[in-house]
Amino acid sequence: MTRRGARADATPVRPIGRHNASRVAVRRIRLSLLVYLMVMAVSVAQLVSIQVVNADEYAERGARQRERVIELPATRGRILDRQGDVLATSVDSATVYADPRRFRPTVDANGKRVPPAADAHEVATRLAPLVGRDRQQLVAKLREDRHFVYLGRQLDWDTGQQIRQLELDGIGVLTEPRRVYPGSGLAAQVVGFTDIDSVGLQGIEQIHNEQLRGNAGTLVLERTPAGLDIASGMRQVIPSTPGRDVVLTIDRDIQHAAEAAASKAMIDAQARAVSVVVLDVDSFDVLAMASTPGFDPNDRREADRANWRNRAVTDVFEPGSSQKALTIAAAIEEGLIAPTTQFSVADRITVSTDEFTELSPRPTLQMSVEEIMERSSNVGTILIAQELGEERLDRYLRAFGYGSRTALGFPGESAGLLRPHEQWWGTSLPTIAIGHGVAVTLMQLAAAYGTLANDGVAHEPRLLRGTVGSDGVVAGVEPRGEGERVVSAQTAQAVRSMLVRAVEGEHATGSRARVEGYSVGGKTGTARKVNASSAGYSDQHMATFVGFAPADNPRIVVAVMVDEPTPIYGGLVAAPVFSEVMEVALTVLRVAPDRSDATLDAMFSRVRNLETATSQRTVGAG
Amino acid sequence: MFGVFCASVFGVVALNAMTAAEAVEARDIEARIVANERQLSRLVAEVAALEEPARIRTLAEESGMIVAPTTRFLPVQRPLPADAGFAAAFDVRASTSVPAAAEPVPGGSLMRE
Repeated sequence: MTRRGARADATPVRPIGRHNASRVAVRRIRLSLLVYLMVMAVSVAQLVSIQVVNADEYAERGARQRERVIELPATRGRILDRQGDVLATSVDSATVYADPRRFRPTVDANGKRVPPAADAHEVATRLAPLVGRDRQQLVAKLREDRHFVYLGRQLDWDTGQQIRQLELDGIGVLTEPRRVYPGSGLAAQVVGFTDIDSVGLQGIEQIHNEQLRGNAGTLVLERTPAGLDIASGMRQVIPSTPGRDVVLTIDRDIQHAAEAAASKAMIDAQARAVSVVVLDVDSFDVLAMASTPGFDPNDRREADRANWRNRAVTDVFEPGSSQKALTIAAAIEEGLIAPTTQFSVADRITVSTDEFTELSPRPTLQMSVEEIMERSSNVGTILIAQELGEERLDRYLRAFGYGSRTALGFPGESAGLLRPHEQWWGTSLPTIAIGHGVAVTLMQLAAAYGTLANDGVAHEPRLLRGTVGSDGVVAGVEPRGEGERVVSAQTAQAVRSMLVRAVEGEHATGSRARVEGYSVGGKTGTARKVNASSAGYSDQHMATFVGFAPADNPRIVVAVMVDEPTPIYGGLVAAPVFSEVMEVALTVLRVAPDRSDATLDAMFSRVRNLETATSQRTVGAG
Repeated sequence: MFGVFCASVFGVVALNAMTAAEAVEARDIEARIVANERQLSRLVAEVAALEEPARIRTLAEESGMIVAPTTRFLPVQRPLPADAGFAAAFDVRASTSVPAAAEPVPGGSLMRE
């Protein structure tokens, strides 16, 4: 018997009616509706969460997935000379890189070996002549256990284009700025150079790196999941700010003349090094600052690092006799002597424990101060210095710029060496008076003579004329101040006249510094070099010449230093360099000659005479 | 209603296509600007290298030129014919205002020999 049968026996079975069936259905529908509503509630809650509560976050995440941020490197500013000629600039170059993973076999998810996508030997064979590297070297590079290797940096743009066209698997080409110096070695120690990432390391490149480098910008693009840019998508550009152009006071033509003359002198005198400084008297602008031997900043791999330094501001030397003009200027300014004051000058003098002598023995002579300068008399200058005294000599030399760095701010610039007069000893006064026991840079010496040429007013030498932004507006040029008066205009004029005698006089030591058509004033200097390894002096010498032209109204100062020349004398090796450079500088600046008899009329009459003579000869011959 | 919807869709798609076309053109122009700037930089560097004084001197000497032994400027002592022409052209009384044998004028009134 079935259970249903038993129940049927006990109570009558209630049949399932239509009413009950509909109740079940309603219950099921309600349940489904509840589930549906719950799902909907979750969906709505999620929707509200995404669209309202966390809308910004999701929008940002979405944007991040599409966005591609590209850095826009700033163009480094150029370095220009005073005329706007380019001394340093940047050009786009091609940098070639590889992804070595493409040249290695890999293993897939199933443990199956997958051969390399590209053949290292084949790629290396095709790349080697273009990147200028050995094929085996390239193969080794391509097989390095890295994700990224450089194969060649800062190659020519055209080379990069050729490599792009090869479409080699695993090889890419980037655009990178490269610093170039069109003048090769011209003003190399002044301009300096950058590293491969265009960061200034030497010279102006280092000093003005902040102004030159500019600020990078960014470009934000939208891209597809496949990495393609969406042409109509969002595009946000924060442009880079290019670096400012730096305009120097250097004149390219004068700089070239100075370097050419220095190189020639170095060979002729078998010297170790030669430096030349050319200074504009009105502005104290540095028109040229040459040091040889030099180097080519475009390719400095083989260059001797010692030649990177700007010797005109880093190297110090005893000025020797060129300093006598300053000693005499101080004494005249103090009213102790006049140009015509007479001294009885022997050929030797003993001060404290030391004896100071003239260059060659001679009888005692009666000399004026002018003659003392013309003959470059050591004894005469010492006699004048003894009247001046230690404290005043020290004060004047410092006022002329000794013992302190110039405002050029060159890396490694020396302040020279001038001990405070309190630390001088018995022989310091006579020694320093004739330019020994004191050390200066060539720039300091040029500036000191610039002060004499500028009627006794000292200014700081200037190398930066200004900076120019992309708007073309020149900035950063501070007007020259009043300067510091060191000696009166009369004293400066008197010393200049004496210095003209030192070049043009009968006993002049600097006669080789003459420039045809111009009056020239200046002074030779010859000093022994201090022994680097022990106390005292070595057998080597430094020869100098520093002077100005035209003498009556000086426009230019030129200072020359020759390190370890043969012969040793400044009048023989440095003065000719002065003459050569000064002549070019006067021509470039179009300075009128003040000692020239030649006039246009004279030239015309000469031509007329020639024509007359020629026609007469022709008639005679006929 | 359906027509309006279709027109709207078509309009949106057309506008989007036009925007994309303009964007592609803008990119093309930007690329050309970059290429031209690149070429300008290269040419500036090239010109500076070609103007380098040492190179010009070498080329001049190879061409048979020699360095002049002396360079001088000649002071002008009287007005030149060209000065008179200039004065006449601009109605300046050159004959009366400029002396026959003027003092040498520094700077501007120089002739290179």
